[in-house]
Amino acid sequence: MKRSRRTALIATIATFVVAAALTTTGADAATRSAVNPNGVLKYARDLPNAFGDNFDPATEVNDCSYGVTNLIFESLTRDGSNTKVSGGVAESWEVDASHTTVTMHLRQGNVFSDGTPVDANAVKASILNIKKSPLRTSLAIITTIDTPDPNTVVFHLSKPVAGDFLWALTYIDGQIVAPSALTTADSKPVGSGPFMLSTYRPDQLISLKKNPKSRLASQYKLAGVDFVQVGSGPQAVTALKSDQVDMIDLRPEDYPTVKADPKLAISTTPSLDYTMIQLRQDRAPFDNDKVRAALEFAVDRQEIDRVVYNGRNEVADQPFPKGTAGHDPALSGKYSYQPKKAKKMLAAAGFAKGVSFDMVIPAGAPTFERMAPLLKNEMARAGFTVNIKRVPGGQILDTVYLHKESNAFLSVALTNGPALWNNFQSNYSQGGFVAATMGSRRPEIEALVSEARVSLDPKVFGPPMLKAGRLIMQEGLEVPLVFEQGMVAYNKARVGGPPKAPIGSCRSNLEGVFIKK
Amino acid sequence: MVGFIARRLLALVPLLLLISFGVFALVLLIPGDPAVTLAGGTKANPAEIIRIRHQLHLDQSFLAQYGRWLGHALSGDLGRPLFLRGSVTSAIGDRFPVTLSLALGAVFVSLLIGIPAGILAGTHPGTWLDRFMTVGSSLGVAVPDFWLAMILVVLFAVQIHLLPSIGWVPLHTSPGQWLEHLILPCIALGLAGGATLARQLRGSLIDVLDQDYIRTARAMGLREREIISRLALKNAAAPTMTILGLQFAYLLGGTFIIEQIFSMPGIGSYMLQAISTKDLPIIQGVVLVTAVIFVLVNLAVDIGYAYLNPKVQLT
Repeated sequence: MKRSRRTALIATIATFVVAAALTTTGADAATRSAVNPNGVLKYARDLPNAFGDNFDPATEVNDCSYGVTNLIFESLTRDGSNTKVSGGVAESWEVDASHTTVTMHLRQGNVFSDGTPVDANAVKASILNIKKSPLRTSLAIITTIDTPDPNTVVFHLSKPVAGDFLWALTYIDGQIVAPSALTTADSKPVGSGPFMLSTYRPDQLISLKKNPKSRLASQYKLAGVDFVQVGSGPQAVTALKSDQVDMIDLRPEDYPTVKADPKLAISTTPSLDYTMIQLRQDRAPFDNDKVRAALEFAVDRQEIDRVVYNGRNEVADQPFPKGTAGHDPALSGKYSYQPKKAKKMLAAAGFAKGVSFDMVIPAGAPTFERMAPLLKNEMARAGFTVNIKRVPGGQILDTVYLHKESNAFLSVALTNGPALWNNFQSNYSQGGFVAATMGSRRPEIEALVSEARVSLDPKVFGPPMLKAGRLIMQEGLEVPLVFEQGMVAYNKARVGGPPKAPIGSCRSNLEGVFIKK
Repeated sequence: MVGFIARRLLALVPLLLLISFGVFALVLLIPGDPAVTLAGGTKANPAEIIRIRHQLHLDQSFLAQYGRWLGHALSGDLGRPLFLRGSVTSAIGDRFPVTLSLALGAVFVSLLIGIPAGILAGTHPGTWLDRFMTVGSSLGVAVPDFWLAMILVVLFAVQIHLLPSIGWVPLHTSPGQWLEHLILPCIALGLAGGATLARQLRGSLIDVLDQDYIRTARAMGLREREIISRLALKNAAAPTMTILGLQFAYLLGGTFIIEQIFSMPGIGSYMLQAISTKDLPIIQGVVLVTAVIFVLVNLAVDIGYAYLNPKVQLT
């Protein structure tokens, strides 16, 4: 009896396994038959703003260029998820107990598009070249690089920040340029990524074609990608609706228009990026921690999500969203909109008549333009009088940070990837630009960041980040509002895959995307 | 005529010098330090900022910077962009055909609309045709070009997929596609110009047709068509040409909104990009080139005016 049961169980499992395999094979076959092998994706991009007229990771100054160059150059490690880093040029790595030595094992047989091997010497030369850029600060901590054999690269770091380092290597900092192109990569990039540069017309078109030598060639089903110049916002939506492009990055304000069009589809990805209010903490009124704490109860995050983000995002009542190691369930709902409580807190802090302050928003940015009046009204009911100041994007650095105008700044914290602390270094640590200019340095958070950045293991960085999140909310060091999910919109009849939105702004994720026959 | 042109050209020298000084000085009023952005913005290191400021000569006196810039500009070198590759001169050269095509196309549209409408209205004053043209031209002047551009895009690109809504194809790559990409932006840019032209021509024609010599020509039995084409239009053309010249010069520097809407890589979008990043050499170069073109087009208009009306040469 027992034997027959076991046999039946084995037979059932075997049936499921075979069925699953057949289903998968069937799905793959269906996808293969739908793919146009010569299909080129036309992807709208506001090139003057989102591409720095330079393909070289060592000299480009626009971080958003990564959205294009990550298809040409492979990085040492790879993003694609908010919770972990996977292998790129390096297949695997080990970090020593002191978190100051990272040993990377490169993939064997990997070649650049010019046919030369992606070996340890090539990696070392490329990283040392990129390290010269003042923008690539994550590489400044490299003291030496050893190449004991052609497939191993050992990085010695001056500080125990291996976690930070591994995350930075997913980005421009870790892009590996072929030795033959180290001095010409600005216009003639050579990498081991799935695509190669085919045509470049500044501010008009970046045309990439498949790199048949790339190890990733089979994972990318497009014959090419054309990044077509289209201004962001309504122009991009119009270009998509008029079939001039196949895919666009979608902004929240354009969501209803795209959603209403049956021939278009939207793909979303949860993001760690969140809109937030930065506070100047070295002068009144936000030098008073009780005033800052009251401000956390003076914003209606649910209402902002509903009105500005079409009610589709997660509200940010702490710096980390659900599902991440730094998220504290105890904080969920704690900082709901409570204007009476905020008023009482202000009165207790000695501001019975309320508090008035200036808040800068980036001029003409539709998301912020929609959010600002909401915040103003919500805060007014809680005893805060806000004077909105619009500053053009190019002048924010000077106005807010260098000339220290205004008490608050409505901005976005770009925190994609598992390195949850990457904003906190600038915002709260000694030497951090924002900390220095906004007076927001907090040694206790700095200590927690130091504890976290040693590793990308959630068990290591999770607990200190959880403490940091609590501290930030308790002391009102910033006012997180809403986590902004990544969104792309595409033409359903043309594009298959389906596409996945990138995990953060200035990134792209075209793996598995194809043009239909 | 030669003396008139020589006098005008000579007067341009101090004017252009003044413009170059103004352009350079104006840019210094723009808040912010590009060296901070180049050094990494919020990640900037103070020592790196100082190094970059020295490298860009931003630590020199204003006059030293101006002298250096002017010397290079006179030899055709407008410098190198701070954040982009290549030279400003070559970038302007690459983008100028886009803006020039737009401006010429818009002027063509203006002429296509303005001349027949102006003649019809001017030769039939007080009739329903005149009133229709007057209302139409008022509407044409009142409609903003960016609004018209959006309506045209929705109608011709989104709804009936007849014309492209974005992009630019150089003439030498494909004349057909070049024209296709220019139709909507040129209509959007040229409609208001056409309306202005029609109003101007109507007024001039009514004035001219009321002159004694026209009455004499009629009394002598000249046909109305001949009177209009050979006598009235030539005299009415002078003020119209001034308007047209000014419109063309304005368009060479004022197409940036249309360039943005249609994602065209002209001088206007280049300038907007430079303003957002405070790329001083580009801003200086584009403003200088635009100002020089404006001055030269005005000179051409003056010469044309003097040709049509020799009395002007005496002033």
